[in-house]
Amino acid sequence: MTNFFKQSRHSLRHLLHVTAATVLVLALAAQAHGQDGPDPNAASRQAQGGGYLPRLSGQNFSADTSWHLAGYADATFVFSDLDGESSSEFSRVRFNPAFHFQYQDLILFEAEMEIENTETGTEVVLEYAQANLLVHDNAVIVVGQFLSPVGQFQERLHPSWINRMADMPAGFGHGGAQPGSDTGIMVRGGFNLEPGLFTYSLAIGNGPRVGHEGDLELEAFNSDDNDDKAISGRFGFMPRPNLEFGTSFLTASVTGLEVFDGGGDHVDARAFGKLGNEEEHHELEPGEADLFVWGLDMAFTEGPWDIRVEYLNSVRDPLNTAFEGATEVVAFEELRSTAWYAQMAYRLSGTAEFPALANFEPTIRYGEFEIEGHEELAEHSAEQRLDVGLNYWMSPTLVVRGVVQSREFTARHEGEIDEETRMLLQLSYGF
Amino acid sequence: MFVFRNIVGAVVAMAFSGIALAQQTEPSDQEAVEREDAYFDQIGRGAEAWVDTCGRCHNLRAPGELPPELWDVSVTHMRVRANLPGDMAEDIKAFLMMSSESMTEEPASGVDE
Repeated sequence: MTNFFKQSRHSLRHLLHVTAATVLVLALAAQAHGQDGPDPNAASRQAQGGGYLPRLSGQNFSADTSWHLAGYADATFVFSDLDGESSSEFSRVRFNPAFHFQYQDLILFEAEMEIENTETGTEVVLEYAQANLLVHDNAVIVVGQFLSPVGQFQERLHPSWINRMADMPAGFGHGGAQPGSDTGIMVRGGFNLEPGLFTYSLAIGNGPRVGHEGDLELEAFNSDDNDDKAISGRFGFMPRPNLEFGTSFLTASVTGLEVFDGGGDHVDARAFGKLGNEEEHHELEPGEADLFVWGLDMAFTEGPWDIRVEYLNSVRDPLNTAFEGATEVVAFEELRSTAWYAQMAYRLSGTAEFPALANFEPTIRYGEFEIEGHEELAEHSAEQRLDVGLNYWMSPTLVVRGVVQSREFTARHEGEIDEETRMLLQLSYGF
Repeated sequence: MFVFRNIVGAVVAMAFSGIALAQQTEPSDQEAVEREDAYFDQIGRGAEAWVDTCGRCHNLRAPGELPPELWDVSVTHMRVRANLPGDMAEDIKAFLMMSSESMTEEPASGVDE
């Protein structure tokens, strides 16, 4: 049965390779066809107003290039009670400028960096840097490092001024089940179904890697550690404008790590209770394993309501790999994880009788992150989380929020602290 | 008689030329009207799409928040991120740029301040 599923996954990946290659070829052909005039309406627009769009006044925006600085910034204060042990700190300050440069209706280059304070100093991370070729009304080719199209949270909701809570749902941040980014090429776009909408994103990239703890690093890398390219994508369907259903996937191979050289205290891998016996451990070489992630998401955003549900399921096959501190390669068993959340926000502008309350927005979110096949990872990260919050919108992109968060760590050993209550206060601004 | 025929011929020719010119001018005016109608139709579609698509992920940003030329590149960014069809993005762009322009327009000269 396991082999059947494995073969099915291999077949699915080959099918996806062929589909992705076909779509890319078609998209490139479309671009080649449109090289003489990437925007068929440009001539008529020029005739109408001498600019990009017909103008009502004398202003002229006909320049070929334009650029825009966007992004967001936030500051967060956290009060934490960890089983009676309390702490409070101004924990996180972030500034995420995003640069958008556009040439005609042909290409948009955009990049976002995250500048963040950490315990060791300032950290600067490239979130994405991508060139978007606007080849057709229904197709854009994206090249570079891009946010993963898997799910709805990472690509569309993670900026703090858009996110209705003060942090990510359980299992959706670093070390979670949600792929963060990838380096490669993507075709994406949408079709207007009048009144519905169908959207698609299909990407090929270097893919994720094995982390230093034997976990998964679902982030972008500028080189590939194996021959198998990762394929990921999402398909969305909106039967009506304010209701969206999405399904997404990622299929990839990851390669086990060699034993780390020097530095740190080495750990006997057998103490971690992985598979195999002593003799086998000495014979093991790093291997490759398949990774398959799939997800479902839903959003309902009508009037003051914002309701979202998202589910992700990840399976990495058994893998021989070293990890940080290990003296030898170890056979890790199958790693399975699931993450999901349901979230609801209601803007009080819907209650017209109380205009003074119109800028408030109560929110609630419940989520779970489960991990099987990696005891240490589960012990650290598996949790059930309930957030109850209140947003106050000073402007459509400037918000102050307070969130009370209750966390229950579900894979902790007896005697270990397995509950935490936190209060998060956050100021966030999108620009 | 010869002279009379030439005069009649010239008048007829001029009349036909006039008709031909009129025929050229009329459609031209008609095209301008149709173009204007199409533009305002686009603004209407854009306003509707702005509410439907932008509000799907985040609060609606007021058109006056950015000058018109910045909406051009900002909407292109959102077209990519939200997988909007190009024609829909153009509609939204037209609405936001027109609205922004009308909101940031300077008072006409001669108006008392």
